[in-house]
Amino acid sequence: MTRKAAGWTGVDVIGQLGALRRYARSLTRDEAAAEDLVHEALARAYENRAGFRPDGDLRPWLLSILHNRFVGLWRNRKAEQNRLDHLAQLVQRNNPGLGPEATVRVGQIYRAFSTLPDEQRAALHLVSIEGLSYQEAAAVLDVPLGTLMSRLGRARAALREFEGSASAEPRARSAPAIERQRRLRVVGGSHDGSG
Amino acid sequence: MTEADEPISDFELHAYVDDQLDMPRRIEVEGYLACNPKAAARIMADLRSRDTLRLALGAPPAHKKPDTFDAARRLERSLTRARLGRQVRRAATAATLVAAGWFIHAQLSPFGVAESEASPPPPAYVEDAVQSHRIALLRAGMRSQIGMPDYDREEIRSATGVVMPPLPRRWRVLDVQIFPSRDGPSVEMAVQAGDLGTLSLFAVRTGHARDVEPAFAQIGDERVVHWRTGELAYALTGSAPARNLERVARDLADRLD
Repeated sequence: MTRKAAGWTGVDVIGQLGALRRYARSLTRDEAAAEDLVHEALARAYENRAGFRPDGDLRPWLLSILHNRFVGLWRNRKAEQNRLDHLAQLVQRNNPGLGPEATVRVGQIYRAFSTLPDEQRAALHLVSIEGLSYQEAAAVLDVPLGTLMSRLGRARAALREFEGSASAEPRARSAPAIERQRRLRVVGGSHDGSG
Repeated sequence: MTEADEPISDFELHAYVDDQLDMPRRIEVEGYLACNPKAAARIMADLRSRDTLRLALGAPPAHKKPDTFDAARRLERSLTRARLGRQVRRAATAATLVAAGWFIHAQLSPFGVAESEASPPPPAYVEDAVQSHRIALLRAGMRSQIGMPDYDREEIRSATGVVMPPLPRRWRVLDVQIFPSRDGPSVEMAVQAGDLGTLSLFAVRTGHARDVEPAFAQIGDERVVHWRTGELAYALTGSAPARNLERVARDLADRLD
């Protein structure tokens, strides 16, 4: 969603709310807690507003404040297991068009993502979901580029591991199922009889 | 399809998944993957996880509170003002140069106060007030430089420590700006004040407390009434007749109590 910049050349904070909320959710793994974290980060940013370079890039600046807030105060507030159980519903709500098997798969991978260590989850989120460059992501996390890359590598390896074990059996069925669904949408009633 | 000349590093395989390679290098990585089914399978698995996560996490959370939006808006206004302040400072430099032309023409002291009229020279901040007023008029003439007509006294107070008066009901706020000035942040507000035309109310926190009754000064084409309440100094600038300006200034000073 893009908003018209306020005034002359305004600074669009409201346009960054989506990215902040997504990142906070990946860090806290809980929507209500994520909202509180975003609110705290904005208050913190306001206190530190003099630290924002007027020609600087707003999104990494806000993401890094949010990240520091999380590391400083939130890390020890453990996400409860029952919160994770709501995730399947969340996935379904966000993607109403998804077939049941795909929904299960998305839920599984989200669960695997949720159980990654904080640092790996943060790195993977910033790069994969928000599309930050490696340099930007390393700056947000305040780590050297090499550290970012090794976190990213470990996160991906863990997800691959998960793919290998958890979904070995359903994968054989779900892939053609998704494929069939896609074809149905395009061709209409035509069926190739597989599955 | 041949293998790439340069070996493909692990870093580049990540960068391929994250779309952070330029096109020629992408093609080389793809050449390598075409010949290495194991590596290709790994990359496809990573792409699949990435896309699945995007599907799961791409939508912002539905849980939202109005407080968060308010906090974002407060920050946005403040950062926007800071950015505008910087741009205005640049414009101010230009304006000063233009003004310098007039002053040289009018000779003598930079703010050519009619010496006979103003026995004690006006305090230094009055120069800032007049400068700000001139910039406000300049800005008003430039359509692209739309001001921010929200007038939130509480927000101004918390951001700058400057207390602004409640305004007469018929006044229309044209612009509110925070300016740097020699005594710390100052607030400059341009209003459309009915018959009195465009007025600027300038306020700044000074280092020391002192009450001073409203006094008049003519500076260039502008007329200024300035006064002090405790640590705060105010200046009302415009081109309305001196008597009217002074009446309004006294009214505003009373509203501050």
